[in-house]
Amino acid sequence: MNMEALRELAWTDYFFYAIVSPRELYRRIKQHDTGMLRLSFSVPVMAAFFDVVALSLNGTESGFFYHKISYGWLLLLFILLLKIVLYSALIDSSAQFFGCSGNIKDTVSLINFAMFPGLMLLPLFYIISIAGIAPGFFYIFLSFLFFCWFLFILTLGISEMHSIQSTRALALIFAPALVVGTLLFFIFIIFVCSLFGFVAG
Amino acid sequence: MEKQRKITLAILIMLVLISIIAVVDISTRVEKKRSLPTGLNMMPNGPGVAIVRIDGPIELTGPAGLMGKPSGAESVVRRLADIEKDSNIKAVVIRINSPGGTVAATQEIYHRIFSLRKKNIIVVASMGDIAASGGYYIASACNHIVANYGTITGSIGVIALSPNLKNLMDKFGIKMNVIKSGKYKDILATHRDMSIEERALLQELIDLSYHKFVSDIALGRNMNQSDIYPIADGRVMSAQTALKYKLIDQLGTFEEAINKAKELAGLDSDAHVYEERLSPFNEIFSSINSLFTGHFFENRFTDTTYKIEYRYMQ
Repeated sequence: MNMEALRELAWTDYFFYAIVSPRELYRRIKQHDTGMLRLSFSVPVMAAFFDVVALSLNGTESGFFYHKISYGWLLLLFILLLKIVLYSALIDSSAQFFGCSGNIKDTVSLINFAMFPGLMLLPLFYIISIAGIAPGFFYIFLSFLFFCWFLFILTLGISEMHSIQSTRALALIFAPALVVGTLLFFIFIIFVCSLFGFVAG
Repeated sequence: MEKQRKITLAILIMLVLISIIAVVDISTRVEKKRSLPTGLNMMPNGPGVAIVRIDGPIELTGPAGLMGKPSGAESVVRRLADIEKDSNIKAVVIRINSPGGTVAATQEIYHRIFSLRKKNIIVVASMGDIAASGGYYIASACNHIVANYGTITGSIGVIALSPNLKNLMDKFGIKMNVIKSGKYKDILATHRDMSIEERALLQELIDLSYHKFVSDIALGRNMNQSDIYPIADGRVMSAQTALKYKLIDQLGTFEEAINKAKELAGLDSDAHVYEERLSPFNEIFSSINSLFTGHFFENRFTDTTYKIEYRYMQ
């Protein structure tokens, strides 16, 4: 992305369509503009930072804040990026399993931009915390609300990506979570059984 | 299209600005909290009464606190020093629940209380279950002493003790090899009988501390030493008896002590009370720390260090 493109503000379209039209967002992603993937990663970078700030607004003030905002942010960003890559891979595998074509690069970009509305949590929560109206409750409530919005964007984006119905796209998104969840459940059962066996032995 | 891009850019700039404002806001609050005296750990809220608690045996250093924070008498002295610097504090209530402790630690707290009195800060002692010996020594430095009906106090005196395990060690055939530079270097040794000279030497030390104890009580209570000596024979007494001998000023509860402090300092009855508190983080870690450092279960039999104490031995 050169200076000319920056001045034209065409890059802001990704953020705009993330809010107003997820299908149009994917159509823009599909064009594979230069620097689009890099630009998409600015969202998780901001999301990790905003999360730390919002959580700090919720907690008690202590010198630990400086550690949270520096090392904590980097750690959170690393975890977030890992989650994005892993979840994109799982969604992509799930799509291929259901007969769609694989497109992990676009899935990563889509997930990144889908997180953009979630950044609004900070200004809203900041107002709530200043007003002191049940900040704990509203933090959870708004987080849930923005997570639903994230899912909505991702569903429509995936639907556009593979030209499938929204319900099928939703199934594609939930399938990996379901598989991982089931796997973890059985691992837990095996672990508990082994533990009891070990103690009894 | 141009307009929509500008709006999006404005939203992005707004988000960045809000995050910066939030970070600055939190940092300011953190710094504001940091600038408060560390020992008090409280937000300024107008003139009021600070509470200082002295619990258990008084020693200069207690179990090591988290991140090198002092405990024992040192932490009490530090808190009193912080209170002295805080213009909001017009009175202090010292809640004492202690059988006393080492001479130096007790005197450190005593003198710090006197320093508060010199700065016209009213100090009221509130006695709990027990405020005997060194516990009473500390209370005597206060402007006013309030004790509960059930408080055990008195025990004005000094004690040093060590077990004599000679017969036990002889029975088991244990002998000690002692290499010393002077004849009194192993004074209070547990493996042999105490010599007459050693006893006389220690008695002199005890007597000096005892006279200092009585003179300090006389100074704090504005009494004659001759009135104190007859009852300064180590006896413990109830709060009612102590009131009869003018060792305390009033029978009452902790709440009444706070009210008295407010009254003496000329504060409103709804003046703020600055309670001493640890952050939950510190509380958890100090408990864990006590467990691991072994101070959780005090063992007097293995504690063989020499101590001359203003203490009521139960």
